[in-house]
Amino acid sequence: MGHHFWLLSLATAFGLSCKPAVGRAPSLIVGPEILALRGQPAEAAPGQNVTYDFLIASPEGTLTDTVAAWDVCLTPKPPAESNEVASACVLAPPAGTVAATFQAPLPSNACSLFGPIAPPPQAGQPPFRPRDPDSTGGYYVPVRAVVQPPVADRSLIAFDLERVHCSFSNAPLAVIQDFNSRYHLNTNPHLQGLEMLSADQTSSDVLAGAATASSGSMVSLLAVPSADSIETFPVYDAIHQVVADQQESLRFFWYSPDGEFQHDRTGVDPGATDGSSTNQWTPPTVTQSTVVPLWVVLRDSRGGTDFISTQLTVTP
Amino acid sequence: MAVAVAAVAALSLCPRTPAYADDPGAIDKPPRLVRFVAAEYPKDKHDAGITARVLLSIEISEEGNVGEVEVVESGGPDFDAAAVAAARRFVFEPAESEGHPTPVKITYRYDFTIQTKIVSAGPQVNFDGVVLDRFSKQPLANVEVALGDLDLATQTDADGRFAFMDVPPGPHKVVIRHPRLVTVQTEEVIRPAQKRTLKYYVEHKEEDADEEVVVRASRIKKEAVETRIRTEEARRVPGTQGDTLKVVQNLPGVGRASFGSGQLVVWGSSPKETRVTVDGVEIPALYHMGGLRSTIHSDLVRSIDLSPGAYSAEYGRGLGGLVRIELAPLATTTGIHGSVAADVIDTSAALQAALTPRLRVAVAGRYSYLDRLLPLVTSADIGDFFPIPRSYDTQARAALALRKDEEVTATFLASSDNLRRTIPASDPADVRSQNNSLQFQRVFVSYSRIFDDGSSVRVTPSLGHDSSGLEQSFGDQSSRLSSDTWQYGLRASLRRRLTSRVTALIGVDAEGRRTALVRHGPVNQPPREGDIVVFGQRPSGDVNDDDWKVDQLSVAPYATTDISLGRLTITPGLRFEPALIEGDHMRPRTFNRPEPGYSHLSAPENPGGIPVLRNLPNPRIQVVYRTTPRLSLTAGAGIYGQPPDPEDMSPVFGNPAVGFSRAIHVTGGFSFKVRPTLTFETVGFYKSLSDLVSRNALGSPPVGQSLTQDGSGRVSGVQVLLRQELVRGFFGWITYSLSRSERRDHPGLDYRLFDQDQTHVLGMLASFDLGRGFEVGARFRYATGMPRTPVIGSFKVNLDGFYEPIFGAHNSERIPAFYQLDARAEKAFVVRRTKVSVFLDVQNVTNRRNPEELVYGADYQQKSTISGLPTLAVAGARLDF
Repeated sequence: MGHHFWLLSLATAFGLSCKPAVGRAPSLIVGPEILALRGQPAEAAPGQNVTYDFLIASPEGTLTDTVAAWDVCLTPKPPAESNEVASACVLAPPAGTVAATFQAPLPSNACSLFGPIAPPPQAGQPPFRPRDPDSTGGYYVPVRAVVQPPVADRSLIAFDLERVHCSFSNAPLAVIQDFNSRYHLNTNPHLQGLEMLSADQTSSDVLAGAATASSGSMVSLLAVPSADSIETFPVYDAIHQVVADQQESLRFFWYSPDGEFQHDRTGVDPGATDGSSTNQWTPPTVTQSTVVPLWVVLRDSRGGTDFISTQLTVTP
Repeated sequence: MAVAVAAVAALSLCPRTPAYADDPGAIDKPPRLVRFVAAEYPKDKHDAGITARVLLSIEISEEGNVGEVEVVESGGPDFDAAAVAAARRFVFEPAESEGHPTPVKITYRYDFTIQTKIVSAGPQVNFDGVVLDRFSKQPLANVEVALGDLDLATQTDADGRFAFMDVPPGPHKVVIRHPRLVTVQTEEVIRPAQKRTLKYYVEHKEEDADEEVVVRASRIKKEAVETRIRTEEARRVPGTQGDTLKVVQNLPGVGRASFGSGQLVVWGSSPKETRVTVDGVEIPALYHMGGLRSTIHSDLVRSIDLSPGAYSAEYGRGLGGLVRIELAPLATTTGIHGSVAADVIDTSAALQAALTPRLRVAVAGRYSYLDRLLPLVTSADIGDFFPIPRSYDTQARAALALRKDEEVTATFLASSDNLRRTIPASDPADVRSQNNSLQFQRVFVSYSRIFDDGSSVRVTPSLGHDSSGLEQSFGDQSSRLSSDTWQYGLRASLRRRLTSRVTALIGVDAEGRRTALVRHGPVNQPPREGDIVVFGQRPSGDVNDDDWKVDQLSVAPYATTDISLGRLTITPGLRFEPALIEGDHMRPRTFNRPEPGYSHLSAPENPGGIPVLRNLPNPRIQVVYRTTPRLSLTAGAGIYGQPPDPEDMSPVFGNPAVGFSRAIHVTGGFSFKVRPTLTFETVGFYKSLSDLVSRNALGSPPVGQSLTQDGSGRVSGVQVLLRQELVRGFFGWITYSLSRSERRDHPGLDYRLFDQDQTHVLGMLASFDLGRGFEVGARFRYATGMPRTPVIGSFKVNLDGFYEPIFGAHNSERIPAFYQLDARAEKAFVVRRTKVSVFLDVQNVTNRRNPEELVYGADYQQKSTISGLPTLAVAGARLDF
């Protein structure tokens, strides 16, 4: 075209980043809070008894003598709802056992209500849609604990999703046999150690109650699960009709009423050989030796849970 | 030749104090100019009619010769040079002092003026001019210009010029007409011994519109509700950064889309219910991802029409509005013309050329780089919160004139968007990533012919391909939806005037689609309208997979008739829109048995209890009654259908049995011309929606019925528009919409607010041409915040350790209202033959932190909002050559 031209391009963009930072850090305990529920065993067959307990924390420490109203939810979640649990189960008035722990069998029809076995169709009606598994191939029964702490203005509600073992079907027989031979029921992971590494590289066992941190001096906390906490399990790939092994991932949830964690949660990728996880914690500023409660909750990707309650001494 | 123009030096001798005389008062005879040399008038200034005055200082020797010549007061460099050169050749009779010649210095004023002389030299042109396109300002050839009262007529030449000789003095009726142009009729007065030279700006005729013979050449509005914006106006709208098609977001009836969505919410309809067509061919997206740019270069666009509802039978397959993009005719002028533009968002270019007198071509394209530029000037993780895609689009057109009023045009459109982002976290289960993509291509050939009797035919076969992908992962929970569609279509129409009062249009609108989809993830991901969910909520952990294919073939014959009964124009129409829908499996696949496919015929049914009427073509009607030349009453109604979305037809995630959704539109209003270019319009509207697809509310839905089709909706409201069209460099409009849009997902439930309902939407914009290439403009927008479902509590789920919300009444609260002021300034100047425009477009001048979405803390006990963009200044430049 034979024309010379020049361009001017000037960009002035400022202050674009508007990150929402809403509310407290999840690791900071400011009031009574259910940190975890645990079913034992972590995976059970329909009709098998499961014992549930929970961990509830407050700024003063673990609330050991608190009871909860327990019940097993029998309402599947409609596909229209976005939560993990049907709103009917969440909003139903508590009517079950009130105790610190709870033992109940999984519903005998758990695999029909929450699993891959579709309920029998009504006459002349199409069959019902079976439930979809999670990415580990699991199905879960919601078990609710409702706690009314003495100092809280509202009830605390938490659900344990107990993994129910349903027979594997809708696959070629050879695949089913292969799957069943390789599958082992999930067990809860075990958090066997919590070590503190100070700035001067001294290590101390937090669970033994010997850990002391200096005010304002960041320390490393190392959570150590047992070697068998990371399990391997088979998962069926329906598209390719093959069974592939998958390894559990572990997630560590850190809590304290004071001080500040670098991360609210840390994790270990599937495939990692060492399940240990490190977090940084900056103790609070104190004028005299102060005992600070500390909690760590460990979860595996199939719903298994373990937790510890401990404390650290923070010196000025 | 009657006009002689010359450069004339107006002599003005102004002797002053002699420079070399000992006694200034002793000069007893001033110098006298004995030889005058005319300066050469600079040609470009002469042609432009520019005059000047140059004041010179001239030294005159005692012999009368000219020595030093200096410019005392400049008239411009070229005028100065011409005046100095001429003055140096002057010869004077020297000045005298005490009877002897003496050197002096004088000042001399040289006037460059243009004189016009009319000489009688036989027949003279006393009425001529040029005919130009009203909007592109391009000359129009072969246009008939007639003096109706004298029975004289001529045609414009290739430069759009015409001329009449010896037109008798007095008033004459001038008619300008062409089969493709709206006929213009006006009156001109020819005065004795004076030539009248005029420019006429005329407008192209629409195939679907009757013309109205008025000076201003506006057309009769046929749609009951329609807003048309020309590119010349649209380009100047603040906040659009010169992108013509972004003006749609400012039109009446269009709600404000969420920031970064680029969606069109028209009269309370879902974005998927509004269709966008380019010369009649549907495209999947008007805007690139993020809504920052349109997918078609502005230079190729002639106009944008928005019909929010009750449109005619020519279009269908949508429950909401209709956006029609009309591409501009390709330039007929010789040489290569085009534009190059660049700003912070992207660079674009467009070229047009007439390769031969009959063959014209154009290419255009755009490439974005904002995703790489922004992190350089703001935080590196800006993309985490404001997704910025990488986009490009390209267009190519070729038009071949076969013979008079017969043309074939081939068009290629392509657009691509990719968005990738990953938000890292210390916990692998918290790592979030997103990968979205959307590509589409369209190629269509349009044959059009206008016959001598005014009839017209247009045939447009088209082929297209759409590809979209949505991948999201939240730790080990992932979801994926990809769609690949081949689309083929044919639009053909014949328009013919049956009588002086009746014009008929018949046509067929055929469209076929073959869509292959793959989906993985939770059944409720991605969210759809009506889902109760909060921003940023983790998806549920359940997963499934499906891949399915859907074929849809729809052949829709239609017919409309324009009946003009004096002041009353009635346009009844019928459209029959059956669709053959086929899928490859009706139920979820199992490992041990093949799942049969399905095939069914579906069509939007007419309401009412009479079965025979239910399956008849859908009626539509538009009525315009001009009570006075300034006041028109309008009304419209129609039944509209939308075929099922293939995404909804998965046996696993949706329902293969879903069919057409249906809408009934009813509108009524009036239009009042306050002035010829100032219009006030108001329209009331009501829409009833039925057979809408929604999620199955059952805890255990039947197989293949994760979605159901028993939803309904209702939308009502009123919109107001006060619009000043482009005149004397000013245009602007004020729009206001008051509406309420509700949905009911299943019979028996209460109506709830539509997810994107906005009670009040106010828009005001104005653009001024200040002269000398300066333009300024401003835009103000206000919109009620969209409804959201409040969170009234929370509970913890031990499986993943996160809280989940407990919801209150569905869509019973709103995001706070949005309002924003934008401004734009532009300066244009010409460098040689290139027009350079530099603009500054400032969004959110007041730096208001507009809430865009509600967000909650991890335990849902605290609530806040995400703010939109603060002040954002975008500067850029554009070259037109």
